[in-house]
Amino acid sequence: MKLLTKTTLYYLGFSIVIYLSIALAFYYVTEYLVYEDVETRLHSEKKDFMSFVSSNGLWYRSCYFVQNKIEFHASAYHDDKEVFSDTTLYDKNNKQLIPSRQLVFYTKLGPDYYKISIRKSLLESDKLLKYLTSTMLAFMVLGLSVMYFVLRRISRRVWRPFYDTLSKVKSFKLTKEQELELSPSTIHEFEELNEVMHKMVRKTQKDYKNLKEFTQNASHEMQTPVALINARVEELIQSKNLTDKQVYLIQEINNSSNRISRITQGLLLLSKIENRQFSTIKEVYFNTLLRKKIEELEELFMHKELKVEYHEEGDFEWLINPDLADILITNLLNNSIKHNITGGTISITLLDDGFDIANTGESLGIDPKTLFQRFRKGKASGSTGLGLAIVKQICDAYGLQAEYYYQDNLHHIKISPASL
Amino acid sequence: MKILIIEDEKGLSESICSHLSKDGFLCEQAFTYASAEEKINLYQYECVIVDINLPDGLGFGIVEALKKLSATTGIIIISARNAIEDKLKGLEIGSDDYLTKPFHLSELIARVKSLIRRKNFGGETEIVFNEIKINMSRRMVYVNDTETPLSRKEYDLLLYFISNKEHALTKEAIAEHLWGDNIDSADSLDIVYSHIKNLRRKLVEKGAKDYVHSIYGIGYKFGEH
Repeated sequence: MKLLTKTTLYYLGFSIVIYLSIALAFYYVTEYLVYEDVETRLHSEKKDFMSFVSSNGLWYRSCYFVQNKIEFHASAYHDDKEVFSDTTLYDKNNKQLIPSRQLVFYTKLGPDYYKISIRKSLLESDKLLKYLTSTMLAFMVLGLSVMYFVLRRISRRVWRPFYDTLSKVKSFKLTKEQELELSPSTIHEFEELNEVMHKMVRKTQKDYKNLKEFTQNASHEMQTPVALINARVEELIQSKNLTDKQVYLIQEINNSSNRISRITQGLLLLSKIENRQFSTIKEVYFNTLLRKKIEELEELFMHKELKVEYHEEGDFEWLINPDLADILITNLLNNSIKHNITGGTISITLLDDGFDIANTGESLGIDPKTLFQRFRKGKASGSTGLGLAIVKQICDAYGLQAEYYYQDNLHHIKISPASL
Repeated sequence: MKILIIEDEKGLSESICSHLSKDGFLCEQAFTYASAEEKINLYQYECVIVDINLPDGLGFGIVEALKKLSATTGIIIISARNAIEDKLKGLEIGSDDYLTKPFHLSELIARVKSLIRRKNFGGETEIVFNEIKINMSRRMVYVNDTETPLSRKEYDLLLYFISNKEHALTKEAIAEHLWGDNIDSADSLDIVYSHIKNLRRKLVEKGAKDYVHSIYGIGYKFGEH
């Protein structure tokens, strides 16, 4: 839930509760006042009635013409209490029930006790109460909505620097060597946040740069010693009468140094792509490139008795460094050969929006999600574990994406424009 | 034929030197920029092998100085820097070849020889090894003057063998020479084997001696012994 929605919801919830309780209190207070007024008047009418009765001795129905105003019934029961209660009276003129308040008491008229009910209509006061309450409610709703919009406005304005920072941090890419530029804010907390963000980003950038430089320097510095090992091994194999044991040892040294050299070269390539050291960018026509590469690798295909199918169903062109495009294709095709089975197939499909290289092969053996990470090796021995990492790095650098999926017993790797 | 090796890593320089000496080259070594500069001003070299990263300067300076002193000297840059810009810069200022470390010595030798051939005879050359004759400009191979058609890879292989005759070559070095370093598949070693088999068969069929000797566990050697 968004911050703004959350605060608004809280505000609305609390306001409604508070406003409703105010309205309720107001209603009861008004009602109480109205009753008090009516009851005072009923009292005075009772006094009038009593004084009339005491001076005249009896009560004539006719002397009070308002219908149902005063009712009296002979009653065996009597006490000295006065009881107020709500009741409704039938209005003959308007043919409707009218809410009223009545005062009931018992008194002696002549020899008998009577139950006397004096009534007073509440119609006027009821109307008053209704109008008052609805007016108040209307104003409350109005106030609430005005407050709601004002609050939203204010919140939006107040939080703007925060959202600004958020979106900038979100779009910030560590790999691009750019400064994180946050707009200054007049609010202390946000200014503090920006400062902390700046510090953190700078630290991360520094660490990242150090790490990158370390990889690069380490790989770089290793080249010369590896060259020396290679040279010495080559010298060594020139000697005659090597024993089998010696040959075996030399072979091991040679294999290892070749591996180191391939790994360092791979790592160097990765850091170079990352550092954008390949500045040339050209429109590369992948149809031609793929055809050329397939032809170049024909010997390897034949050697492993692989059936190669090439389906050209579209034209794919992309702005990329031509050397890296070459490496991209080479790595993918090499991969499809290396992890293939003898007599297997490789199926290459080129579409308008990318291409797909599929090959038969044993099950992956590793989590497909980690496939494009460095040093993730399947079962094939002797690989550096960098081939697909390089593929991914190239894709990332030029707005492409590489996906792995398994379908119809084929391992697919699909290269297509990265969706934003 | 005199060759100057400018490389600060003494061991590597020594290895290159001893390898080239076996092929009859006269090698001199320079370990610093200053001593290299002095040497190229004093002597004439057929070919100079120069490292870019020297303790007291960049090898590019030597290349430029050499170009002014003697235009016929072949220059090969060897560098741990694989940056394309460096490669282009090196070739632009007049070096003839660029090899990235780590490399195989046999590859360097092949490049040195091919460079010297190019410099001396302008590519119009024939290489003769006993009964085998290679016409470089027409990329044709003759055994006892009979034309022996070879595939492109077999031709490259033969040339590489002859450039490194009497040197033991590792399978990896051969594979890398034939396919460059973008092939890192173990399968390529098997293909090396099948190419060598075909080359041997074709040469022997035309009456050449079988000069390819396999060295158990290591690779191959081309030569009389």
